[in-house]
Amino acid sequence: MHTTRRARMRLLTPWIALFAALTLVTPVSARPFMPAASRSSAQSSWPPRAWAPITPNGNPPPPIISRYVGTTTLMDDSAAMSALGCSRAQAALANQDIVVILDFFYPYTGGDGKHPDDGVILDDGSYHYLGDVEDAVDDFIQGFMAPSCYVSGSHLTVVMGVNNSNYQGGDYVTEEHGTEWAQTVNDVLWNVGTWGWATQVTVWGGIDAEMAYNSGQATLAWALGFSEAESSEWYLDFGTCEDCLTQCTSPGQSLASTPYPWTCQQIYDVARGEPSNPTASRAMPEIYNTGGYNATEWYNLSLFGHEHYTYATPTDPYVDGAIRFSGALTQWNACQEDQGTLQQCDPSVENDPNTGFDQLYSALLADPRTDPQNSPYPFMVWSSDMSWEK
Amino acid sequence: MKRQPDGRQTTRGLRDVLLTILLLAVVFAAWRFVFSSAAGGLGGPSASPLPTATPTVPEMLIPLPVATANAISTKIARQIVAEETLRSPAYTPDVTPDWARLRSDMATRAARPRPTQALFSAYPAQKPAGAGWLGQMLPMFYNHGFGVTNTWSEYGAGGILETDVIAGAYYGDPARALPGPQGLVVVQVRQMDQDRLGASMTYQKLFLTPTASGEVTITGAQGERLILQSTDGTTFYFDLPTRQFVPSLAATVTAPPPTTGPVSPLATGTPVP
Repeated sequence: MHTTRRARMRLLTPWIALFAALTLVTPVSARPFMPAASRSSAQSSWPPRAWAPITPNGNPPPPIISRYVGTTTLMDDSAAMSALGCSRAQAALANQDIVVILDFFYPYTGGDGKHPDDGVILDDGSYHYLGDVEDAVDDFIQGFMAPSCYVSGSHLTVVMGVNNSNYQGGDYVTEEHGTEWAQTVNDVLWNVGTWGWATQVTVWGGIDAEMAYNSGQATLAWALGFSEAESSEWYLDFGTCEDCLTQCTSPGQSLASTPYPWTCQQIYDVARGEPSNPTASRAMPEIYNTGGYNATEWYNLSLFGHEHYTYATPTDPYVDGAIRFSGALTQWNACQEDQGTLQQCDPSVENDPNTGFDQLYSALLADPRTDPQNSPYPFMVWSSDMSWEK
Repeated sequence: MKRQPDGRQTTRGLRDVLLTILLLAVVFAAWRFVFSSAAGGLGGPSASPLPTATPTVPEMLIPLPVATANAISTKIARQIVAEETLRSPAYTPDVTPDWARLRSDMATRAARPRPTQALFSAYPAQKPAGAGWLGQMLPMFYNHGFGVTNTWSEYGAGGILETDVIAGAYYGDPARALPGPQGLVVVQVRQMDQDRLGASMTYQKLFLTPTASGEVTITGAQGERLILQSTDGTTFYFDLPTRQFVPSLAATVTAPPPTTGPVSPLATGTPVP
């Protein structure tokens, strides 16, 4: 027995020594959850590690088509919305986690006497109160979960989206609308729960926040309203960062290429999460440009976040201010559908989904400062492409 | 045979010393490892109980009251758990779908009458200009090929028809949404369905400004003839009834008015010389 223990010790000794030596020489900065203060030393490890595989075969996730809900004809047609949901279910692979954005266009905040309540104005100019939106998303989800459509094990996150444009110059992109939109998202979630599908379907809000559509102040107010709503869910920023080829160097820096005033901090806060609730958002931006400019813009913005912000909380070790990207959005299908109507899409903004995803993914991972290798949050898990017709 | 002086014992003594040193090293290494990673990655010379910003940008640290920080932390923890649950390999339903409830909800909804749409009319923020109203909207398509400055809308047939003229320019730099030199207008007509349950677009056409003078903005109108100002100061006039650019507000044009019908291709209009 004594001999055996000694033999064991003899075997273990070199390993203990190796462990001790390795632990002593490994720099702290190479370990997980390093704080911003130690990041600079990590940059010496450039070039970064090879890409982590996105899917088991190393390819971007299969794209799922998102949809402009631009007409009453579609929105109020229960069967059509259900068919839409069914088609997305059938497009998913077994056990695939997918996202579908339903874009309801303009927010409308009541109170100006034009329409009775908060709601949306669709692309055809029609007004719908929020109950209509809830019904339409319910229909979509029911189609997705219909036994003849649902693919076993797949999971849907349906994003109820609006843009940040003030229809006909009204003051409709507001904190109030954000709050009401969050409540509508919650209402749909409640329905999903009562139908027993809480583990297969998640519902988020969403905003196509574009610098060319409205001011940073108004857009951030909407985000604030959404984030501060009671039991608010998450929202997805599926917008743009048009002027972000200019690298932000300070929060108050003005980005003035669009008609509306924006600061670096405002465009960052919308994407990263309104400061009162910095955990409430994810970004899945429009990566339309075939030359990779959009990917560069978002890389720049994420780098700005990494360099300038940290979210100090007692228990969350992941304090990095880099933007939390859930995926990339393209418009290849929408552009193909528009081809019959001449010059609908500039050729430079027709990325296909895989290329768009690839551009953003590679731009972020090429720099350890924007590579969220230590993030506990899912990173770049979705790919989607907008459509008018499918 | 006499045993040799105990060299083995000497070796064993040395080994014990070495092992003790190694064990001390292991304890020290483990202490350092735990301190640097499990405690929030705060190893290093300036460890503190909370993660901090890099010292080069201390002014960027967002100060959070403890109560707020705790609330956020709780929410983060909950969300991480939720995400991890959702993204586990199999999303096994833990609740049996309630088809009866679903059918009941659907029956309730089906019994609800579809609301009729409000007739087209001006929004409060629009400003009167000629026979219509100045306002803002996006084009009826999100192509990101051109940007919009403003719009002019006219409401006809008792609110059944809406005609919009959208002004702007092709992007010179689509990636940055920067307007280029080629100004344009898009004319679109929306028509309410007979039962007023919805509307559809019945006409859509794009017209380039006669000269590439920059982005144009509708500044006014006389009747249905619009006045547009370009960024280089050129003034253009667009005649809505004949759907063409004309030389002046007073110019007489003889082109026959176009007929509305099915959605026409968004063809580039032929400018009047």
